[in-house]
Amino acid sequence: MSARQPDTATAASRPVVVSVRALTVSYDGQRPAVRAVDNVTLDVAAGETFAVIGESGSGKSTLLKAIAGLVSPSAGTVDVQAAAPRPAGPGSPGPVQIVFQDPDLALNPRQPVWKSVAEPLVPRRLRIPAGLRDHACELLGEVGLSAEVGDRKPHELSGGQRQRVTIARAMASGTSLVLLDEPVSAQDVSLQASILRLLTTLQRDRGLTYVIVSHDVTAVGRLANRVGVMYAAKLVEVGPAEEVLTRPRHPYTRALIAAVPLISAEPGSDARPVIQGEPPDLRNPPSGCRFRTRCAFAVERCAIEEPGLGEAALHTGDHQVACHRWQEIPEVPPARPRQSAGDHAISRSKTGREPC
Amino acid sequence: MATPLAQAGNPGPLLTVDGLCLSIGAAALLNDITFTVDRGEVVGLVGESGSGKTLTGLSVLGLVPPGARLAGRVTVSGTELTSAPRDVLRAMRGGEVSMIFQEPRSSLNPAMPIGRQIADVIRAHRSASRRQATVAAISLLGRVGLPSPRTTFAAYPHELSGGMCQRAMIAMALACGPSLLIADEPTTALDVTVQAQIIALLRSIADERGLAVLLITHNLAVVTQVCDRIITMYCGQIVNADSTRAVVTAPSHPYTWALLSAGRPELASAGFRDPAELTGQPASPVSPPAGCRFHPRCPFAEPRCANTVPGLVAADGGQTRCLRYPELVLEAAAR
Repeated sequence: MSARQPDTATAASRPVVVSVRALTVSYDGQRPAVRAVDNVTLDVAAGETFAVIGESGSGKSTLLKAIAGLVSPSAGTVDVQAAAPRPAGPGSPGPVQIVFQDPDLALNPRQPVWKSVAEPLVPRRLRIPAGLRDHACELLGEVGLSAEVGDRKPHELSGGQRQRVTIARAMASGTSLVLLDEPVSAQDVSLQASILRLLTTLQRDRGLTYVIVSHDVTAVGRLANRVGVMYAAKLVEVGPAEEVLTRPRHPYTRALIAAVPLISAEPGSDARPVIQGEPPDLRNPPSGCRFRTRCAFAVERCAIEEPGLGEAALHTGDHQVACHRWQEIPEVPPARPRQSAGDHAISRSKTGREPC
Repeated sequence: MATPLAQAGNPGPLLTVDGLCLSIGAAALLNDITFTVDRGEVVGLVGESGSGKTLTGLSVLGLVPPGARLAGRVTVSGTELTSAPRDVLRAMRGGEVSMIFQEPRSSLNPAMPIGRQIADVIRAHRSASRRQATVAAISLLGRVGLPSPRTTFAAYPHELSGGMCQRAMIAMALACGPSLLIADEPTTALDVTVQAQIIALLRSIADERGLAVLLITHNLAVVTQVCDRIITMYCGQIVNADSTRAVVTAPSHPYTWALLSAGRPELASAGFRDPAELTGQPASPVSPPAGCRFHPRCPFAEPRCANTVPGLVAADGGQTRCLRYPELVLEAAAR
């Protein structure tokens, strides 16, 4: 497994695994119908980590479900070319799996977890392969769990262990594409780090492609190669993670990143403006640009004409933004209070012992 | 709406927790928890899952799991709560001390309009007519920044977003003019933009009303934004307590230092950088490690840390539970 590692220079030349074209997903049960994803186009290349960030209700989870084939498009297409990078035991190139946010809900509480891990293999098998349990335990080993854990029920595991089980299950079919819905939200730092570490290792060893959906901008910043920002069912900005997160162009992306709390020595010293209000009601979205109702830079044109993504491609060509005024808005990143307050270099003890 | 009790001029701290121990069966989940919160002070209680921070918050109100044994003293405005009779506790909860939780929607009654739930709290603690309670509830809904408070008064929880529900919960918590608010992970389930709004709201309400807040969270960045003082818990013990400035610039305990280093928001790095400062999983208070409970994960541990139990000692105005405190320099230097 040497075909790696995501290098932005070669990203364009790698094959496209997920190709989403003008995708619209509407939930017609609502009256009027709600377009949860509205005219979204994006590509995910093999071996990269593509993160979709946005607030609750922005449509990011629906986008993920559409890629997994769990909801069908109302318009547009989703093309997934997920090949198995290797013949993986009894599995074959299989369906795309989602790792859901809440591992407590994603595992059958009444069966030992190895059976949950083996589940993606079951519909395809003709008879129970003798090695099924061993294969499941092998997968558990890959996510850092011992074989004995496989015989336990979900309630006997910690939250972090359960999350690992769901990751093992997502890989069971040997697919090269794994979709993750809020994999590390609401976890404390050490657990978050251990899951991110695992995902990084698995991606390296198995050449996996990740599509991650999250509202946690900082967790995404630790993992993603490319980032797409969704607001009110629209993709408003997309580009290399470093570009989008450190030099956001869309006023919404700026506001989103400015809302991330920083470690500060003076309580209340964070002078960055807090974005006010809530995202619009998708049953009755604003005309033109959907962010204009909360945007400090909105002008008359924003209410009349909907900004398109890509029309204003930046110099890199890879960083796109759907905003009429992005060129007029100064390029400075959201103001940050003194850099030193947020940064902690690794300190050493006086005796010079290195952290182990 | 000033609080009569807050003006009573009780000397000493508002909340005193003294030698609080909580055990279920043989498992000692809280171990000699001692701290105070002054009137109008915003104090953060941080630590990883399982460190006992939520149990500490619940214990203040006597909301402990069945079968748990509670020892020690909790005093709020001079009233001792651990041995208090039920009716005193009832009057205290939601009156002098109120609490908000992580998931606002599960704390609200789904079958009752928001406003009525707030009015009920007011009528449970005060002699107010239905009309007076309604007026008070509407003004509270306006204060916490909900648009059109009259409409929101009649709305059901499912009609509001998570952030609006949390605002409604804060309105409810403020309904009887408490002097202490315990907020347990109030923003963890919310979007980052809404989190910023709720943090700003909590801070402005605390300043405006002289409300003391005990903010329980695993997010250190949130704590440094609003808290005057930070208490760090690990494995059922307080390991560090200090002013926010001291904690951020020169933490006196390796665990606090590790949390700060690992919890630093990283936006610039494409690709995962492993926080080497905090590895391994938190120790369980059911079977704590010998010696210093943090020593198996501590980058600065020495052999003696595995044998000697450190006490909570004074450290430059704060407190720390580290044997190597006098020799360690855990500074937060700028890169």
